[in-house]
Amino acid sequence: MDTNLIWLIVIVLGAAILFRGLRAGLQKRYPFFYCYIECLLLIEVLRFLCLSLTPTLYGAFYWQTELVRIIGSYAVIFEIFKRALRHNPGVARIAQQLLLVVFVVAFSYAASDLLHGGSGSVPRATADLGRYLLYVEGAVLFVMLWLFGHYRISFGGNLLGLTVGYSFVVALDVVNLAFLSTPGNESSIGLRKFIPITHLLTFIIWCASLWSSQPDPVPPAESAIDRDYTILAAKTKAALAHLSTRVERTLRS
Amino acid sequence: MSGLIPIVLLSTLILIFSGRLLVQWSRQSHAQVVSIEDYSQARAALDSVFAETAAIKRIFANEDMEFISQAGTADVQRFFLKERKRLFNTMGAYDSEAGCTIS
Repeated sequence: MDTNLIWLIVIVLGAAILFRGLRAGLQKRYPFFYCYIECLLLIEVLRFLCLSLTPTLYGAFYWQTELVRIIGSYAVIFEIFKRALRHNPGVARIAQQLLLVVFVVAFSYAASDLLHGGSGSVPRATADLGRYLLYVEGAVLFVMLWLFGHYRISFGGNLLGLTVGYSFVVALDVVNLAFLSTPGNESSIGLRKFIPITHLLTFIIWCASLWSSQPDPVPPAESAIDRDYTILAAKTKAALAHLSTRVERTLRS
Repeated sequence: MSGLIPIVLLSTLILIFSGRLLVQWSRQSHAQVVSIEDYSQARAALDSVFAETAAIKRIFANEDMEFISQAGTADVQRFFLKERKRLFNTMGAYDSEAGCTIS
């Protein structure tokens, strides 16, 4: 199938997701995700305009917009954590704070690399920054999925579709960017052709799962994740108290 | 090229774990997990039964009868008893239609 046609279908599906989200009231439930979809659609339109009007600038523009897309996708992880752990506020708060710290550290590290000019040209440096952020995102997503599976967190149909579609696109983007950044690797050429299809499949998953609002399951009376969190919090408090006592004793002697 | 192996592994694990999430969800939906909407509806139905019971108890409260016996005239007492009996018969007919009994 023609690549342009696939991207056109992706844009139509994105518009359908936004429209159905508005009709079914899902935009209020998943605001960050719908902002991300809006951002994706805007980026696709801008890329198309750039390619048509100034094809020479397309390469640099592509990587700049790709960086914006990757940063925006962190908001989706944040949203998934927030919704999946909404009945476990203590765990959700810690997870969100950790995610924020991870993002700031990864961004600062990659940005410092960019500022010191280690990557050569600006488009190359932007691509590297996006790649590092995507690797970190992939690792965070892996931990998140392990956590959900281990504690058997209950998902509604909407959140499940959102998470599965998102995992699919991030997993393949990570591999694609890794191959693309390896010079002389011919596999990247084949994978490059595969990107529009992965995005199309993701949008089909999102469109199908977010077509209508589906009920969220009732949380179990006793949650294993809450229990483990309470134990961990108590152990940390005890360790900190022990440490502060030892520091106090050392300072006095 | 060796740097690609952890990345490919990470990507594969993400796909496997998201597949596991799908399998868990499918098992849960087969087990017919109660949704928040179902729970809210059941809770509302139960609350309405409790509210109805409380209202019936208040209508047929002994305190009213005691008050009327002490403060009311014979006409008022007769009128009160007649009204209560009529109310009881009306509610009895309504509940027998609905398939319940007033205890």
